[in-house]
Amino acid sequence: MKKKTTDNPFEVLGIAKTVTLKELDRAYAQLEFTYHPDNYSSESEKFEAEEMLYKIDCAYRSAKEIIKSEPVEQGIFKNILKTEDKPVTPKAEVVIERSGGKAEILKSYICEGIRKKFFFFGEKYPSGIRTEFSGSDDEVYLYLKIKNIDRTFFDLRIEWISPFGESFQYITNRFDQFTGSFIFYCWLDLFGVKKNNLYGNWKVKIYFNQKEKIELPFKISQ
Amino acid sequence: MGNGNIVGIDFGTTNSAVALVAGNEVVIVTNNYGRLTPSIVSFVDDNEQLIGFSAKNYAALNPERTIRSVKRYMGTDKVFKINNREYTPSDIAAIIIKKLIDDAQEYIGEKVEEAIITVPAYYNDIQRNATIKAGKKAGIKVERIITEPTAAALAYGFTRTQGEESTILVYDLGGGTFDVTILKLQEGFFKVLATDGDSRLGGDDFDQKIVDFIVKRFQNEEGVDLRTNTLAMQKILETSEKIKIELSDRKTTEIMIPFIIADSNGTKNINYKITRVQFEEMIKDVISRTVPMVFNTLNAAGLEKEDIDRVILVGGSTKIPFVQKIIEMHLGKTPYKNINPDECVALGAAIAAGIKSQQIKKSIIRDVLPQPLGTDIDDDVMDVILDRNTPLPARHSKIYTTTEDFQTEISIMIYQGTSKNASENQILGEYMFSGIEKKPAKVPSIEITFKIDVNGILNVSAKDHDSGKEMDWTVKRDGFTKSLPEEDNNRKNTDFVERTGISNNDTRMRITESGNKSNLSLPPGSNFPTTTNRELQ
Ligand SMILES: Nc1ncnc2c1ncn2[C@@H]1O[C@H](COP(=O)(O)OP(=O)(O)O)[C@@H](O)[C@H]1O
Ligand SMILES: [Mg+2]
Repeated sequence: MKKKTTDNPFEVLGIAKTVTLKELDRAYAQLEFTYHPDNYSSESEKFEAEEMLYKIDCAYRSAKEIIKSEPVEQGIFKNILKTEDKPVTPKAEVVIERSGGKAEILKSYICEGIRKKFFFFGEKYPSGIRTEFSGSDDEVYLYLKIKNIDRTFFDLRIEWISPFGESFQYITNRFDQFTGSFIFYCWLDLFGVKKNNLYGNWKVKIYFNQKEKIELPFKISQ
Repeated sequence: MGNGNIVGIDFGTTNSAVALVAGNEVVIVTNNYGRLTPSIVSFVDDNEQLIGFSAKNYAALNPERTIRSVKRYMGTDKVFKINNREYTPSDIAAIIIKKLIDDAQEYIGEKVEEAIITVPAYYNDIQRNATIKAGKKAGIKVERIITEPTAAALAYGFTRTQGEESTILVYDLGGGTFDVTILKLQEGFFKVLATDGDSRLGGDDFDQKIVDFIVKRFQNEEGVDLRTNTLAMQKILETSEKIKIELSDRKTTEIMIPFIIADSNGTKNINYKITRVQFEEMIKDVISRTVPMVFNTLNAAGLEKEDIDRVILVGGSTKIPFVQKIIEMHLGKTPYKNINPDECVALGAAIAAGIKSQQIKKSIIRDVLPQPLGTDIDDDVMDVILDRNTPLPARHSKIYTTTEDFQTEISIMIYQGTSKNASENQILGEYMFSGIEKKPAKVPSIEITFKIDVNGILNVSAKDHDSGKEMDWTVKRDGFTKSLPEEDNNRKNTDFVERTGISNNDTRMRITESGNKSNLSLPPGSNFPTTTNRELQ
């Protein structure tokens, strides 16, 4: 049995990143067949095949997502990181979400040029849109996640600007080592934001290394 | 390779069949009555049971001691009380399976030791295991369970010229159940893409429509409500099924039941004409209910109807011309006719058996998980870890956290089903995970992994990333399993805390034993169901 040691989904599947979904499906089916444990007789081979199969399944799901998705907005981080001579990965993702009552992704940015050290591949680390949250509309909080970044890399500070120009800098943040994301919370009830003042055009400013800064606009609608 | 003979069994709600590989052929086993065996058991007395056609014929005389449609009850705790003895659904199923095995043994003149039994694709783990148990009680080893649509696909694939790949849709409408499944066939590889169904929809509903028609007309014309008359209703029901079947071949027929009632005014007969068009009007609603499920399944498989190369019909009710018409109308494709809808499931099971005994060239089958598997979080919310239609074997993990400060234990409940409320789903097991490092609420990161291996065994494991503590459990195959904490004292202690509210400085928080509060929840920020982390680079 040929074992694949790479974690890159396209390499696991042995296909180019430019394939169509149909070609992806075909390659996947071929591998599912090859690595199905029923094809092997010894217990150890069966076990190895099963592990490979999980890896293939996982790679398939990732590859499918990537092929299907179009980056939302690009290039925001490009200039900021010019001075940084450490190796960089092309893209990281910044997601701003709200929770409580109605939970949704408010905005998602693909940011180029952030060095990625904590990269996790695979099904172990689910991410995406939270669809349910057991909070009421009175305990809305926003959170911003920066995925795929190295936590030692930035001195990060986040400032939330409400539609009424109020600025909130109280932040709890958490580095989620399993998704490799920095998560910044903004508990609006703590700031005494009235429910009605919530809706409108917000901004979140991200300060890096004390001087560099980017602004990401987003909107909360009723 | 097993030495004994191995057969394939379609254990159906209404009818069952058994098939086997003989030489180069796959054949249905015939008995004195034909090729199908009604799934009916009628107890004459303690020592004598009638099974199949003879039971069906005797049923009218012995309604209280006749059991039909036992398949509906597989995996439930229903008991049938007959002549002061109690039978579980598996016991009754075993009687039918035993009869099929006997017929097969007579047919080949040799002993049969193993079988592959088919189950509906939507069957959950407990129902599947009840079926395996029934096989064991019938004295055979159940080599494997495969799903009915997969079996139908095997039967189709067997006759087909080899070579190119194709995508097929199996539409199975039986006596009481409806199933739709999409599969991809390649040389030597059968891959299920998606499946859906309704376990309360089928030919019985059509019979009932005719019954209603008769009862209503009798009420109008004679002013008598027949519904209180069990014997009359029994006759009407039997006749209705016959009429329905006749209308598959004829455009019009007559419902004739002589002496339906007898009273002081004399006897009354039923003699009504019914046309196919009338019948189609009656059943339109019921058949229409299958259409959205077909499209949901297409959707789940990520396909358009144009992607389907063949539509295969399975189940007695697909012989109704109107059913075929509806399918053709919605899928824009004439269903494949060269396969017998009554027999293909048993034939497919026999092919799977033949693969097992190496009489038939090897094929690999990759099935999917029919119903979501998950755990409960927050207030009885079903949080899915392995979603429906996940290809099997499968392994998936999610990260959870605690709801209370310094909580060191969580109870992991395993559920299977589609309801958003965990407790409305089938519970498969409950396990206590202890040894979580003391942290404020929502801080711990507990990874829960579900794994289903090739043999369909579900394994659950939990890991606290901070303490490194790991535990795993195998979900037992015969129903609900529960593992208490290692030391039982702990539990007593916790119960005490809960009842009295005195905590003894014990930092361990409530467990979910009797409280309605769950102490497992998704951590804020890294919590997202069903989608998989995308690689960004
Ligand atoms: N020619 C026919 N026309 C219409 N319905 C039929 C015909 N033959 C059988 N049926 C119906 O098919 C159903 C049984 O289908 P079957 O596939 O054997 O059921 P199951 O798989 O549930 O055991 C019964 O409701 C029966 O009345
Ligand atoms: Mg059937």
